[in-house]
Amino acid sequence: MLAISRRFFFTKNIFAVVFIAFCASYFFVEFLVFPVQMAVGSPQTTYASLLFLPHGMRVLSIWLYKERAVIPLFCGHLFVYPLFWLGEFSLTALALVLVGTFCVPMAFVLVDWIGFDVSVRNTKIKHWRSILMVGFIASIINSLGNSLILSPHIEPSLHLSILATYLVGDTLGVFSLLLILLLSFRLARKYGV
Amino acid sequence: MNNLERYAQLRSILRDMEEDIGLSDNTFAEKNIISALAQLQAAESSKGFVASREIKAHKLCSNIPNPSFFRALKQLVETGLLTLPANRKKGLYRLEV
Repeated sequence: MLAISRRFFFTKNIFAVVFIAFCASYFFVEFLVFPVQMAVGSPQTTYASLLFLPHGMRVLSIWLYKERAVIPLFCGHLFVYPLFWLGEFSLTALALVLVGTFCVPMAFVLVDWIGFDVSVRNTKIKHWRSILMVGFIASIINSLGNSLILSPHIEPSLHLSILATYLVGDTLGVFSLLLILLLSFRLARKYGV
Repeated sequence: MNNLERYAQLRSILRDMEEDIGLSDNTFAEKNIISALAQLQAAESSKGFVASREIKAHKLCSNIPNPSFFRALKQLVETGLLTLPANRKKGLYRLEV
């Protein structure tokens, strides 16, 4: 039991990096993506974003830090969800926080269970594509969980479109985050930083 | 795994992505050396320097002809992507993260 709980131990650096990066990506969605979505008149906006960078952040955090990123991610979700999305702290909010936090670790466990090695030891695969695949699986888990929890509050006619928005938004979020990092490193290399 | 290894892994997957989406400036040999070195560096404990014979023996580089391999190594050192140890000991390289 102690050995299992030790795997979740994190340093203050890991906490700071994961927590701040997750919250910053949420702010980006809240203040840039959502307004654009609202302007376009998308009715799912209240529930889902079409470019959800925080999902990319949680996938990358778990891929890099594994179990050590879980508690910082949980704290990040606990901070931003009531602040930007749910408005108040309730059992529903806690359930959504837990789904958001654990959808990515569950996806990695599922992928491992079916025998697909996405670790860096596997030199036969392109790792960025496997990160995208895990992100997609995590998005399925996240969207199903959220839809179940929020089903009393969502118009039945919107269920399917919200599910689709989650899948598209989360997967695009993972791809976009990797692209942003790629372009940032290229710029840094170009200017000798 | 320490922060340098995590950073090397991240750079490695971003380079793969760069190559796949067609943004890479490097030749085939250079790309493979970079990828091989990123993986070897994560496993090495000698302050991150890897011997050229180990890089050449890596699955990604074993089929590269020797002249192309050493030319690519030299090019990568000149562009600053690879560094040599401070004592300039021959045959050791490190991916500059």
